[in-house]
Amino acid sequence: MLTPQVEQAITDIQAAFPDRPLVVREDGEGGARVIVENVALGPPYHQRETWVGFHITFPYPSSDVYPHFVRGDLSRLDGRPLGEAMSPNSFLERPAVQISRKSNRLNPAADTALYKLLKVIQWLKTRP
Amino acid sequence: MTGLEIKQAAIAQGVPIQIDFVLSEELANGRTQIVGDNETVTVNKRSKFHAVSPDDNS
Repeated sequence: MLTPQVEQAITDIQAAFPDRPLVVREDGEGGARVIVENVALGPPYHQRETWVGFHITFPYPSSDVYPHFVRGDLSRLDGRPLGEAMSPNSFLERPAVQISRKSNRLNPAADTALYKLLKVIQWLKTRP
Repeated sequence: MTGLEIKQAAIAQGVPIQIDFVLSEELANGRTQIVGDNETVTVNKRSKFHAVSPDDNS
């Protein structure tokens, strides 16, 4: 059973991505692993879209939602390596690229899973 | 106003954020979008913004 805070986080994410399917897997401890499908991507990457996965753990919002994961075949148009904070991994049995962006100044009152997700997507899209 | 100008105005009015915070706007359709420092958005009385601290590579 999800904690009320984790449940609200998932509700907020679905509201922000109303036309994107969500995969939710409860972790048995009050948290959940979530995947947002078909998130728009494009340059500097070959791929026009990706899924984005993350684990909202039971202490949320006191815990950071970190790391995030995207499609494992992510590649750059210019052929360069993906770069810092990105490494191969897997998430919910999907080959993935792990995106390691930590909220070192986490404010549980303001930093929601939704805002973290939006920050990670923005960061991913604005890589040089 | 640009995202940077919005944050500067908020700080000048005593909002407890820092200039490097990541700004987002709550849109009328319920969605939320990031507003970059150099990105221009229209601000009116009903505009709602949110700012959170940036993340670091780890």
